Amino acid sequence: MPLRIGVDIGGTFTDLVALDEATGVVVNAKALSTPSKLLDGVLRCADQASVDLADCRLTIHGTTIGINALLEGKGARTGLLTTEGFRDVLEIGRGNFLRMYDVLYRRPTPLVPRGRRLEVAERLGARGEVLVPLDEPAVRAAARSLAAGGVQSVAVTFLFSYLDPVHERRAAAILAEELPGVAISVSHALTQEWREYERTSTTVVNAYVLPIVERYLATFEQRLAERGFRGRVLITQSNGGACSVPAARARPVHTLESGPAAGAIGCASLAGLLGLDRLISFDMGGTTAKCAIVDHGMVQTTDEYHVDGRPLRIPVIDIREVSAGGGTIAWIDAGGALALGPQSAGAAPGPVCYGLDGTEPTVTDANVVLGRIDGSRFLGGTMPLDAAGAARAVDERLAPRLGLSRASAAAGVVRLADVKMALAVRGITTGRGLDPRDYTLVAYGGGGPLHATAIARELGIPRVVIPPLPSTFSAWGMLASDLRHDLVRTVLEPLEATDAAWAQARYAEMQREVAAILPGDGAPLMHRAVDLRYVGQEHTVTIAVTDLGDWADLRKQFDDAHERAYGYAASDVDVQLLNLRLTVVFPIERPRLPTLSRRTGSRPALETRKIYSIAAGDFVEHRVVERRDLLAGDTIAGPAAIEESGTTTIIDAGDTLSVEEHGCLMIRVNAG
Amino acid sequence: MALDPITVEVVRAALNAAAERMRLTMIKTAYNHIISESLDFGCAIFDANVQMIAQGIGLPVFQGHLGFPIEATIQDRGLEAFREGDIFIHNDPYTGNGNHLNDVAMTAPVFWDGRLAGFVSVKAHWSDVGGPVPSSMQVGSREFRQEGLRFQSVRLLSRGELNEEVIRVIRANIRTESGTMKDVQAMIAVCRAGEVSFHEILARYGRETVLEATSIYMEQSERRTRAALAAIPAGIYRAVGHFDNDGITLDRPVRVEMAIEVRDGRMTVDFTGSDAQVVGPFNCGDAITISACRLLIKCLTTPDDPVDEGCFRPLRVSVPRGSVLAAEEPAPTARYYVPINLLIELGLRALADALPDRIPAGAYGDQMPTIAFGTHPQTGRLFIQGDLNAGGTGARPAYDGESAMIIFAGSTARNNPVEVVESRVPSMRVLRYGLRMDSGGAGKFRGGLGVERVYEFLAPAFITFSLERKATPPWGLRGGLDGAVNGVEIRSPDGSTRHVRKATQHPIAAGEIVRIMTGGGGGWGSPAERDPEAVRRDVREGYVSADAARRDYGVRLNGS
Repeated sequence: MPLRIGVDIGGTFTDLVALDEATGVVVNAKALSTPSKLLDGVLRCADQASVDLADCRLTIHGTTIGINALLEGKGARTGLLTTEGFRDVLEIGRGNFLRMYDVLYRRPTPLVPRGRRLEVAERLGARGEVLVPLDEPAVRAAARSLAAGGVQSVAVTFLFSYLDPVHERRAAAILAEELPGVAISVSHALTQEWREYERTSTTVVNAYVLPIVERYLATFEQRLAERGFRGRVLITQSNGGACSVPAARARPVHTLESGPAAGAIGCASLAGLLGLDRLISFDMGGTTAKCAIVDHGMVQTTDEYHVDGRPLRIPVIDIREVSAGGGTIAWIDAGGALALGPQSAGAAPGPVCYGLDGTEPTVTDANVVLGRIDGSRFLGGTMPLDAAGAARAVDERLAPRLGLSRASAAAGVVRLADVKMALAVRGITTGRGLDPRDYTLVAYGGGGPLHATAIARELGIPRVVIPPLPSTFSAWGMLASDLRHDLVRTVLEPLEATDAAWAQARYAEMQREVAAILPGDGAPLMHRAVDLRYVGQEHTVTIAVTDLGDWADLRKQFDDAHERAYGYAASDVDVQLLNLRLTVVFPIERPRLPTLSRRTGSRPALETRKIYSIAAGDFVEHRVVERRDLLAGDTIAGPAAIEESGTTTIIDAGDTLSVEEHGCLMIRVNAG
Repeated sequence: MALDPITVEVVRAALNAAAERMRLTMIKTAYNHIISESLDFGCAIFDANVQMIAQGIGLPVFQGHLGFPIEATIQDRGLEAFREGDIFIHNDPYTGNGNHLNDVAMTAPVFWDGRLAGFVSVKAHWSDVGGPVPSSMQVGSREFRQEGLRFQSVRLLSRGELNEEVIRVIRANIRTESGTMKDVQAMIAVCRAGEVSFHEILARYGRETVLEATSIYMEQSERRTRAALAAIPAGIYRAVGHFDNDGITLDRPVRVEMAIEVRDGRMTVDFTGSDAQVVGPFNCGDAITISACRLLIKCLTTPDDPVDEGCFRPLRVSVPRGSVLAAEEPAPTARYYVPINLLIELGLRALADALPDRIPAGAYGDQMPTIAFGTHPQTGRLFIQGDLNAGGTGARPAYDGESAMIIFAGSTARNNPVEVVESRVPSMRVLRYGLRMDSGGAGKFRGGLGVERVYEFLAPAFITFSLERKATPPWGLRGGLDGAVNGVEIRSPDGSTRHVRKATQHPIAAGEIVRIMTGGGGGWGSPAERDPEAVRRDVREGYVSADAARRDYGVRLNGS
C-alpha cells in the first residue's frame, strides 16, 4: 500500500493527511501543536491515523517554523557584509511611512544591528563591470570580527550583484573557509532583481531564519527515519510548489508562506480532475478569508510581499486576505457604523456560540442566528453550539444600536462579510485585468461553503465548486505540490535590441542555474515570461512567452495587454525589457479522489428547515441534506442547505446543485 | 425611510475600492518616478456637491484637497461647463490649487442617466511644465510666469474627444524629454478608471441609494472626528516658527504663526501673524494651506478611519489674504511645500502640552529635494533625476525617533534605490548611502539620525538645491536638544570645497563629489535622564560618537 502523507504544522493544530495512492482514499488526523515538541505531534498524528511510515513513498511538509522565528524575533544571531559605503541600506530602507497619519510611526527594527553590519571594498557598475576589485583580506578580517561577535549566520549583499555575482561568490567562499559551521546566504542566490534594499532585506531574512529551519528539518528527517520512513521528503514553498530538503535548508525564505499556498495548490489539482482552466481559490477560515487565482493549473504569484514591513523579493502566491473569518467580530464604531474586524475572537474564546466565554458577536454567531449553521449538528453533533448566546450577543451589541431586528442585524453582518470578501475577489480579478465571469469559485475552509454563492452572485461568477472535505482541503492540497522553482533576473534591455536567439541563450543559462537548485526526474514544464514597460515607466506588465519563436510578437502583445489593463497603449514609445522570468515545474502525480457511486433507486424525501434568506429578507423553508447521503448525479434546486461535519453549503433560490462523480458539489449560480 | 446601515457600509466599501483602482492605475501607468515611486499624486471621488466620498492615498498633503480645484472650475466656468465626456485641467496657484504649477489637477464629471452624479479627480506632479529650468522648479523665481504654464480650468477633453489644440500648446512649451506627455495620458486613464468604477456602483445600487449612503457615512466620519476632538483638552494652542528665507533675500527668515483652538468638538486654525507673501517662490495658495490643516486634523483625531469630507467638517481655517500661506497673483509658488511642511510640524508642536503622550519632537525639515539634470552620456538627451532625501524624525515621548524617514506632507514617498539611479543616469555614481553619526538630537529619547548620500559626478551636470530648517532647526521637546541641520558640501578634484543651501541650476563639474547630509530629529526629555546603557549602546553601534556621549550625556566610555 504506497502512501503519500502531507504534514501541516500550524499555530494551533498539526494536521496529517495520508493518501493511499492506489485508491485515492484519504485518512487524516489532528493533534495540538506543542511548540517545544512539534515533531511529537506529527508522530502522534501518524499513530492516530494508523499510518505505518515504512509504507510511505513521499512526505510533503509545510511548516511555519521559519515565519514564526521571524515574527517572534527568535532567529539566529546574524551578521551582514555589504559593499563599502552601504551597510546602512538595511536600516534606511525606502524612507516611507506605512501608516501615513501616524506621526509616531515605528519601523521594524533591523534584524542585524549596526555593529554587525560590516563593509568591504568592492564595487560593480550599472553594466556589471568591476569598478573596484574585491578586497579579499578585508573579507577575512570581517569574518574574524563576526566570529568574535558570535554570529551563527551571515548575509552577503553587494551592489549590482544581479548583473554579475562574481564578488558575492568569492566573498561567500572566503567566509565559508573562515567561519566553519556558520550559514552563509548570498543575495544573488535568492533574488536577481535590482533595488538594493529589497535584495538586502530578503537575504537578511533568509540568514536570520536559516539555522533554525536547518536544525528543524534535520530533526524532522531523523525522526521520520527512526520510524522506518525511507521515502522522499519535500517542503512546500510560498510560490505554490515544493522543493527538496537541501533547497529548503539553503533558501528558507522561500518557504515562509507555505501554509496559505496549500489550498491553492489543491485547487490546481482539482482543476485537472474537473477539467476547469480558470479557478478562484477561496478559503474562509477562523480569522480571515483568502483568495487566489489558479489559471490553467498554475497558481498565480506576485513579487509584492512583506512580512511585518520587511520586503521579501521572492515569488509568493498572490493572495488577497481580508479580515472576514468566522471568528471576526462585528461591532459598532464611534460614528455609529457597523464594522467588521480586524479583531477576531480566534479559537479562544471563539464565537459566542462556542460557549467558551466569548461575548462579542462574530460572523459565525450571525450565521447561527440565521439558522445557516445548525447548532445541534456542528462538527457532527460533537460540539453543540449555544444559539441562544449568539442571539443574545446580537441583541445586546448590534441590533438596538443599528435600529434593526435581531435577524436583520445578523443578516447585515453576513452581507457585510460577503461584500468584503467579494471586494477581495474583485481585487485579484478585475484588479488584474481578469473577468470574474470567466472563472469558477472553489470554496473551502469552515466558512467558504456558507458564503460562496453570495460572493459569486455579487461578481457574476457563474459556477461554484465545493470539494469533498472542504474544512481540511488545504492539507489535501499539500499532497499535490509539484517541485517548482521560480527565477527572475533583471536585464534592463531595450526590447528592440533583443531577439529570439538572445533570449534563448539567456534562458538556457537560467535553466542551468535552476537545474542546480531543483534536481528532478523527467522533463520539466517550463514557463517563461517577461516584464515589459514603456521606457520611463516604473511598473511593468508581465507577458507569458509560450514560444521563444514568437519573440518578435512581444511588442504587440504588450501594447494589447497595456490597453486591456489601463485603457491605452503608447505604440510610439520604446519598450524596455526589465526582467526575464523562468518557472520550472516537475509535476508529481496528482492525488486522485475516490469516485462516488451513482444512485440507482429514488432519493429519499428531504427534510426541510427554516433558514434566513438574505435575498428574501426573511426565514424561508430550505431543503436540508446530509452531504454523506449524496450520490453522483444527484441534483437539488435551491433554496437548500448541504450539511457536513465542518461546514454547511448554502444554495439560494434559483441556484442548482449537481453532484459530480468525485463528490464535488457543482453549483450553477443564478445571476440574480 | 432611512437607508439600512448595511447598505451604507457596502457603498462605502465599493467607492473606496473604486478610488483604490484609480490609485493603482496611476502608479502602474506613470512615467516618472516622482509619481510611481515618490507617489506625488492624489485621487478622489466626489458627489455632485463636490463632497469627497472616497479617496485613493498618494501624497498625504493631497488628501482632502482635490475638491478645491473642482470648486475653482465651477466658480470660473459654471457647473454647466461640465458635460459628459469632458475633462478639465487646472493648476492655478491662487484659485483652488495652492501649490506649484507642476501639480496639475484633472477632473472628469460623472453622469448617470443624463444627470451629473459626481466627479472623479486626480492631481499629479508633472516633471516639467516649461519655464527656464528643467523640472520648472527654481529657488529664485519672482512670479509664477517664470515657473511654467498656468492652466485655469482648461478643457482637455471635450465630450470624450482629446482637444489636440491644447495638447499642441503644452507639447510646444514643456521639455517633452521629461515624459510629461505620457503622464498626461496616464492621468486620463486614471479618470476613465474612476468613471467606469463609479458607473458600476451607480448601476448596482442606484443613484438615490448611493447619494443617501454617502451622506450618512460622511456624517459618521464627522461624528468620529468630533468625538476625538472632544478628548483633547479645550484651549488655544500656539506655535511660531521660521523657514530660512525666500530664496532671494537669504538673510531674512520668514515667519509662520498659528493658533489652534480646540473647543466643543471643533478645531479652528488661525494663521494671523504669519508674514506677508514673499518675493521668491516660497509661497503657497490658501487651498493647500487648508489641505495641510486637514492632514493635521486627521493625524490628531482619527488616523485609522476612512477619509471623506465628513472628517473635515469640524475644521475651520483662517488665513490672512496676501500672506505667505494665502499668496495672491503673481507670487511664485514653486517651493510651496516649505511653509506647508513647517506648518504641519508647528501644528503638532502647538499641541505638545495638551497631548503629552502623542507628539514627537521636531523632524529634519522638508523632503529636501535635489534635482540633478544634464546631458545623458549615452543618449545625448536631457536627463532629470529628482530625489527626495530622508532624514531623522523627532524623538517620541517613550522612544527614540526613527532615522531616515521622509516626513509628513510626503510621508508615503520613497527614496530612489542606488541601483535604479545609476542604471538610469550612468554619470551619477553613489559612493556612500549611510546614517550620519551624531545628527540625532540628544535627549532622554534620542532624535532619529539623518543620512549622508554622496555622489560622484562623472560628467558635468547641474543640481537645483533647496535646503531648509536652519532658522528653526529640528527642535527638541521637554529639554531634548535640537537635531543637526541639513547641509550640502561639494568637493572639487583640486581639494577645494563649497557649501550650498539654495541654488537653481548649480553647475557641477566632472569629478566633483556632492555630499548631501540631511538633518536629524530633535531629542525628547533631558539627555541627563537617558539610560547610560542606551548611550553606551549608541556609541557601540556608531549612532553617537564617544565625544558626543561625554558632551551631551555626560557618559564616559571605557578608555575615553
